[in-house]
Amino acid sequence: MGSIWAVARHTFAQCLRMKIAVAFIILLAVVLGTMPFVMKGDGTLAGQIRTFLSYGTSITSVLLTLVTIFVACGVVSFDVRDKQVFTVATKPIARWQYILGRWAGLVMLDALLLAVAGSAIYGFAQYLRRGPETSAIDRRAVESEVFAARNQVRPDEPDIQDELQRRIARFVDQNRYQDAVESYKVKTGGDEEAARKLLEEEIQKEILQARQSAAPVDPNDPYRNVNDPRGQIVWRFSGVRLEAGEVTGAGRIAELFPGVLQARVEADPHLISNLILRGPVQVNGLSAAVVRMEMDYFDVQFFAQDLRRQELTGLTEGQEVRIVIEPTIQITYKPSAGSDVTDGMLRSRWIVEDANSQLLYKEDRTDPVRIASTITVPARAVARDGRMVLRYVNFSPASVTILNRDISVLYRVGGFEMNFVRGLMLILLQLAFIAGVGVLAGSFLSFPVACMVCFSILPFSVARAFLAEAVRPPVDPARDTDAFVIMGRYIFYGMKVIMPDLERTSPADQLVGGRHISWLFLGETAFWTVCVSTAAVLGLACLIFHRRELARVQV
Amino acid sequence: MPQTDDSIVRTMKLTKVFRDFWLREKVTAVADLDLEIQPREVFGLLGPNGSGKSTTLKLILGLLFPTRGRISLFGKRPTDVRVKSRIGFLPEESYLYPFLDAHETLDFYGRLFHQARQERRRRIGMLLDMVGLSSVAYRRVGEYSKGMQRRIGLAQALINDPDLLILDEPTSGMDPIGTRQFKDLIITLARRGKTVLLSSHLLADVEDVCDRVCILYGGRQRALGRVDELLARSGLTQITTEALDSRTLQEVRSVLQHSGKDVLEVASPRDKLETLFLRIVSEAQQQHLATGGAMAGGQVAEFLRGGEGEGERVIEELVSAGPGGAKAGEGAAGAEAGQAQAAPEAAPAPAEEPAEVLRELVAPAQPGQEPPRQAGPPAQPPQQADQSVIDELMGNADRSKPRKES
Repeated sequence: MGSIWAVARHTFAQCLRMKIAVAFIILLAVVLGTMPFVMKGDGTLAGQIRTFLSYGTSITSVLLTLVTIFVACGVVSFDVRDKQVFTVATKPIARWQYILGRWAGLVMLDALLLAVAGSAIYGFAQYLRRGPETSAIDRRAVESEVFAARNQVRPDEPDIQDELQRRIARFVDQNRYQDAVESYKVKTGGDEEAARKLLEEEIQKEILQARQSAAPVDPNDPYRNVNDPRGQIVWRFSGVRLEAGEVTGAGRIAELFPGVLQARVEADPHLISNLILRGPVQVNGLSAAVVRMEMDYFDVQFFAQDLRRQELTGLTEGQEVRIVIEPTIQITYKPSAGSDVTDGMLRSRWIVEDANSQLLYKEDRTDPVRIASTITVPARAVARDGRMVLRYVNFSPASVTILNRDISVLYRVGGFEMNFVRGLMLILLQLAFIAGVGVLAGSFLSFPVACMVCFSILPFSVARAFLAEAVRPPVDPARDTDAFVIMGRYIFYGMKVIMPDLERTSPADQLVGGRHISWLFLGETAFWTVCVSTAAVLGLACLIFHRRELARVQV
Repeated sequence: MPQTDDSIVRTMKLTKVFRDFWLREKVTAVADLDLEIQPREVFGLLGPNGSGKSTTLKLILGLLFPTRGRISLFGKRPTDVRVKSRIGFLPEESYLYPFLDAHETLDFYGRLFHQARQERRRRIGMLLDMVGLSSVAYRRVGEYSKGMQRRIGLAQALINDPDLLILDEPTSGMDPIGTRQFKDLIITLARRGKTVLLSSHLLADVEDVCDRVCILYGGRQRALGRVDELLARSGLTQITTEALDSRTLQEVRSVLQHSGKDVLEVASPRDKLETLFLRIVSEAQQQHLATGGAMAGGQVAEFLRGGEGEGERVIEELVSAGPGGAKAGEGAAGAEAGQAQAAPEAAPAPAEEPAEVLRELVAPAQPGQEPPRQAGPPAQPPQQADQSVIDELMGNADRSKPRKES
């Protein structure tokens, strides 16, 4: 262990002295420093911060990947080329210890550079966070959707077996079933069983598609859809576990409107950003609903039953009050329209139901087509067992489809800071693997060849989904005749065993979407990326380096 | 030399064939080499450029793998990690990390030997003193001159106080001071029971320090044996005396002619250029003239001298106060040395009668004292002694420097 540590320390010092770190930091400072002023995203503050986080983490990741490849390929191959390995290999250090030490030193360097880059990104993001928001909703998006760690829950798979059986029964009743099976037999080469299966799959697809669409029942009176299930889409969610507590803060009663049981409360914009229009809030223990939200104040409507317990007159203008805001959840979705809508906007009503208590939360909205939108909902709409029902009512004159993969419920489970650290750790795990590949290549190839090899095999990790699609065998095995495609497929399958999926474990999307990166996911990624893939790569490097001659015969 | 089980290095039919990219045999770098190096031996590998010296060393160190044959190092394979803790290696060039300073360089190598921090620091300090780089210890090695890099390379080879020191062209790039210290060091280490294996084509260096040599040519062993035996010229006798006037010389000639022996050459010994150089530098250093390079190194590091306490003192005395005429006796402090060269002890005994005459002639110079193997300053010889006469008598003026005992 002492030898590995000695080489690791040495490698770390070597990289720092080679001015790699300085070059990286200068480059990063220039890029990150100019980015906030150049990139404005969609014009909102949340959009600007998201863009910055997205590009910041991606650029850091790319730059560090390049640095890691070049350095990792160089540390071993240059040692052999410049013969410094003579004095090291003749010391009591096994060659595998040398390889591991080199790798560990590179990981240390990556950790340092990542910490510097992470600090810079975090610092700039905090700087942007203080910038001017465009609206209270923008501020809320910044606080609850960007600077947050949220778990994402997809809708439950709908149970369509009953409907499937009903449809088949109707087909049979109408004497169309056997005709349909016969037509599918053409596709299955006469196999009747396969044809039935194919038909069932088609019907299932149709049912699912129908369930993800809401028709315009009456274009002249779209509000009739409220009562017509054909104009609605219903999702059921389970496993929404709310752990984050309430948000509390202080405010000041600016104005009282006793006649309408309302009050105007001034508070910090960050606190106000946690409120939801028509959502619940407590002012000095009195329950109320938010009826108006501005940047630095909000109006609340008190409930009559609360007033019976405590007089509203207990509050006075100018009084400091304690504000308690209940936790919220977000629903993100991306709707698409079946036909053109005149202004590109879709009108809808969203109804959230507690599956047990039938408590309702309603919100009428106008959202752009094919762009992700977010609704913030009081978390109390979710039942204690973590279930909730979500209903979409289409008020547009076009049919609207929201696919299951385009809708999710997000709920806060932690703060941004730790999530960001976990995100950086994910990048570090990726870099650890890349460092391993670089050391492997450098252990038997010259520097330029080793770099070329690394850049050639890296796509297997970063574009895995694309490659999987490219080499996917055709449905009809008879058409699978291209030798190059078949060869490529088997190479891909082989590489898949060793190469980790760096695309899946990239944290950029999670950080930008304010999505929680769990310790479990981090641990799982660490296991597969480091304990399996990197260990395999380093094992191979150790074996090759152990068996190679470090000197050349010169006569 | 008879084969024994306690040999430090042993090669059996060692062969290394260099193949090209297509695995075709291109050149045989080492062929059927049988070597056996015993403990406490200073062994030299000699040969012209490309004769396979460095290849042999790299095979022994496990940096190259033999095509055929076997190598045993301390009874184990060369790739055995445990063996390496007993080895110090100085490559033909000091392949050091240019971004580290001398201190960091030694610290890194010390760590590879798992040395405790305190011990490491102690040794680094002593080694830097020894190689004369203390004043530039915090300068990057990349900025060092070649000779300074050799010195730090030597220091790294000694950081573990190795039992076997392997030196590839050790004095290449070194100034005469460094070369002299180097030779002193080898002698000191050998005296402590260390084994040294060195390769060189600087024959004088090898001759000064080696007990046995192997001469290679074309990767094959051409000669192997004790230096004394290989160099002995049994047909000649050399006598060194104080300066003789022409009358005495004539008497010597007539005595020898009376015995039927011819005097082949009579000459006064000259200072070696090395000796002159050492003297000039020593004087400059005494005057504290500024230099940006390496200083003359100090004495051999304490841990390399073997020791602490009583033993150390004894060696110290031997090193600093030994009589002149030792092998490599013109140590760093001995710049004035050089004239008190002993007669070659390996010269065969001449016929009885001339021997008696010669004994009479040389009696004042007490040539019978065999100089100890040491690195300290030699004793000041009588300035008026004309050694050249004896050298000429023995026809061996060019070998006027002392020989070490085996």
